[in-house]
Amino acid sequence: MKNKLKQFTPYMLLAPALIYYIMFWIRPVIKAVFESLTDLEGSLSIANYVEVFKEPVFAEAFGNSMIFAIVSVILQFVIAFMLALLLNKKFKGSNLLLFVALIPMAVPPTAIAVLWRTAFSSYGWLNNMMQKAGLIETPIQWLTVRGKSALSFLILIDTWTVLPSVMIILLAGLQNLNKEYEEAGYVFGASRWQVIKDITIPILKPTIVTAIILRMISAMQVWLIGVMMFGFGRVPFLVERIAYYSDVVPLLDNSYKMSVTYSVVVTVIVLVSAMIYLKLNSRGRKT
Amino acid sequence: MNTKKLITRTLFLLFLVTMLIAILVPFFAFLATSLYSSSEVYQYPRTMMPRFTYDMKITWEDDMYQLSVYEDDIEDYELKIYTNSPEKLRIYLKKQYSVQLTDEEIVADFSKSKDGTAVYMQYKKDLLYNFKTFFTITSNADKAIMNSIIAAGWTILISLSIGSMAGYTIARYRIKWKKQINLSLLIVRMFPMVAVSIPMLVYLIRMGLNGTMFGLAIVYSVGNIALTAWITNSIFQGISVELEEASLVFGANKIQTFFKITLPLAFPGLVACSMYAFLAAWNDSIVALILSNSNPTLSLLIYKAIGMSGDIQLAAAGAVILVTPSLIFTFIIKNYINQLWGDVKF
Amino acid sequence: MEYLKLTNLTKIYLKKIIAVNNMDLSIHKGEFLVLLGPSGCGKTTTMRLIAGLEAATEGDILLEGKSITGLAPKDRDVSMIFQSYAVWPHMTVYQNIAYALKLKRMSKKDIDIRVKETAKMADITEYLDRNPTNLSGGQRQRVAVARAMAVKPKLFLMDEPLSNLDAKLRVAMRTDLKKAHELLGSTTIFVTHDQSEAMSLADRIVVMNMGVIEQIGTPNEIYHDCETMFVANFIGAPPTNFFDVEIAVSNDNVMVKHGMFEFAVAKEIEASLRKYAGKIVVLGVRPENFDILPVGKGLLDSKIEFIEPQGSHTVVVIDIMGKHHKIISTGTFELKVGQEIGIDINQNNFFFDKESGKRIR
Repeated sequence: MKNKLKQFTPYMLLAPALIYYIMFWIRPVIKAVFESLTDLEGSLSIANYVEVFKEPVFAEAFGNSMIFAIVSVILQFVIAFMLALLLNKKFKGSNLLLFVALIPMAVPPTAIAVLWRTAFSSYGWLNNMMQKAGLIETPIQWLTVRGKSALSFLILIDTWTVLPSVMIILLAGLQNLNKEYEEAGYVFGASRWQVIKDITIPILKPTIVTAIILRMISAMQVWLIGVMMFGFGRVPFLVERIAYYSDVVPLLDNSYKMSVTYSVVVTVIVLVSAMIYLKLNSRGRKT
Repeated sequence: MNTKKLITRTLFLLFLVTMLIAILVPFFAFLATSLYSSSEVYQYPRTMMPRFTYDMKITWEDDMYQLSVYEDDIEDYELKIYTNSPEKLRIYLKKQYSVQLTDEEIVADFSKSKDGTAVYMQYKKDLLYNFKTFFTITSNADKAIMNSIIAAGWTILISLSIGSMAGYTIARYRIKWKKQINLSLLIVRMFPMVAVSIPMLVYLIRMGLNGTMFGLAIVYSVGNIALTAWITNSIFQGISVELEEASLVFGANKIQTFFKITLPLAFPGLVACSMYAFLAAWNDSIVALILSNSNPTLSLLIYKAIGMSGDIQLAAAGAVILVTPSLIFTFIIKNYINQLWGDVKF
Repeated sequence: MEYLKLTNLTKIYLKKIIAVNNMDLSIHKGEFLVLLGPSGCGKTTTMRLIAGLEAATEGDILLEGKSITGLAPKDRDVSMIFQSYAVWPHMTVYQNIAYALKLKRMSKKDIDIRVKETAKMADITEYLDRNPTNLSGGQRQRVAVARAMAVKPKLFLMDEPLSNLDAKLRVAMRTDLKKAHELLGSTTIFVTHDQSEAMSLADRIVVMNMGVIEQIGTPNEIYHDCETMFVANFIGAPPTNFFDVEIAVSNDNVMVKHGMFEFAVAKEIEASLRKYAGKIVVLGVRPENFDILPVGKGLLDSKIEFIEPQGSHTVVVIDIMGKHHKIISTGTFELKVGQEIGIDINQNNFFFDKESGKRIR
């Protein structure tokens, strides 16, 4: 009897998590899918999806979200990896640098937006500094930019926020790497570049892949910084549409249906891109 | 050889300094903005350092106080306002320069000018003016702070209790489907929480929990239980079973062993987990926007504040309040950052 | 003619920690040289300087008469077996060996031939397509050896390659390494802190301590003809027993005087010890150079404190003036703890200068 009980202990300890996930993860997600597939009368239809895809802003939001995710992740990882390689040694002030590098990561997204608003408003500190340095004569109206330039603004802000932490992750990976793997490369005749390409990066791959996936997924859900810098609709993102229907026009007949449908669309896109990335990666490994 | 070394060293140093500047300057400029008075915000160009005092000159002409303020760029006093109402002056000084004086103080200081001589005064700026104002103009600011704390507290409670149990189990017991469980934890972590929030609104309304912080915490905990399980799993794996066995050999029972040996060893990691839970709740705005728009958290309030008013220095003050705990906690948990990203073998 | 020559080689870390101090060393072609010493003695640093993984602070390294001091590791034509083997985990065994060859710009066909040839020699043919993470420590070690052999380097460097293996495997691998060395006739430098490993593998041993060479010699010289007190203490298990003794010169005799015993020294050493008349020197006696006799028959009497049977011989711990000394008995005496015995010291002794620790010859 006691033995039987013992066998069940681990499952009893896991049960709360399981129940929680059924109640507050699986159930809402199923409901979301169901709601998105029914019209206001409750009958099955794909009208919501048609409406979402027909929205003129949808294509732009989708494009922006994808461009933002891809460009910012590539930009951040390439630069961060170079920085990490450069900093991968003990030097005076390395601790100070790592300490400072944590700051942008620690600032909550809303505060990040406020921070850059203080920079880019026409009387903000950026114009002030540039004026002092003699670079400009009259204040630049940063926040009036539109389209791709506005998007690249947001990518740069995201890079400022995320780059240092990505660098720290990669640096930690480099420092945990057994030095002898790289040294063996050197001894057997590899150049610095060959060691990085053929030994360091492949061995670090699991770390890099995970970090990229997590980064990519959160980059695809960007919205707040765009809205807080430029307002709704200027640089639309997928999640921004959800916020739009919840915050700006919550009382339209179809607000709820639209936001639920958008949320399903976002989820599908996020999971599919994560899967595509993983597939590409494992195929790359085999050859 | 040596000059080459010198050049690389210099370049390296230069690069380090650039990096430090690129991170620190925006941050300090942002902190400085939260200390600016209204007149400083719209002054152009201005120095980055906020002013702490104002040199003012008061003269009495045409039966009115003429208030001039010393401006650095013109190196002279500039006439700002003339009025004979001390109350107007008080409001003007407060709104424009964050200088807080009472009507009596103004009369006492300024009336000396009535005999025709100019009065020179130096007034201290109230550095906390923006912070105080943030609380007074956004009437629910103190409630929002409480909301954020409560939501974070519930999130810690839920995700730590459920998540660490799961993490301990995965680490210590031989169970079926271990790989699948690990994978599902990862999927939960990657799952967009907006997709959960919108349908959750219906459930929360049904349970009477809409607009409550407990309701928010339920959604925040979904991702955090997975994260906590993930981190505690690796923590408990890092604690050698032999330490527990040693305790059992010396006569402690399983429960004593857990509380006397395992838990203290795991404590720092559990603290880190709870701080992550805190940060997840404290930093979020989209879930709060969907589920509790009328009863906002601090983060959501600042999001709204920037849309409402042009007074960037007030939003900055609010954001500084928001940043402070995040900054402190991030520095405390900095050694666990790698676990947040995880070294996952696919 | 020397094949590899180190002159005045010095490595200083962080401007103050001297890892290798002004080292001179010559190695012949085809020699198996072992660098032996306790951890932190500079043996690994010396090897890394030769490999080019560290830059020398001062001094020169000459390979076949040409200086390689400033060269990058890849231009030195050496190969190395690392302590952790450093078998790249993301490549199969085949790829590991092939990658090292590819870096030498060999053609694909030649690489294939060489990999298979070496794999056969190292007896790892069946693992060629396996991933190193699925191999045992011993198998991984073979892969590391094969990889190092395949490139046919001018110099083989081995950094404690056996220290991560279990005892039995270590002895077996030792024989394999020795066999491979004889087969290839490669010049090898082997770093270890394990003296029995050093003794069994080396043509010559370099004993190092605190960045300095204490003694260079064949295993027999190192054991039986120690240059310094450090070597006498470090080599041999149990280590050499040391006694502070006074040199007394009377008539034609040179006597060694200790609180418990005194004896006349051997004729060969008399002349050197005469200079130390009235002074204290250190007498070193290897554990096997004691003889156990019945009480009263020897130089001194003592009591057995402990007995550690080793099978082929017995280590007997005795007390001489409050200090424990370990001696080896191969006799058939029935020994018991607490028993009183007589001890004799034979003439195979070392005398060391107390100040410098150097051998008095």
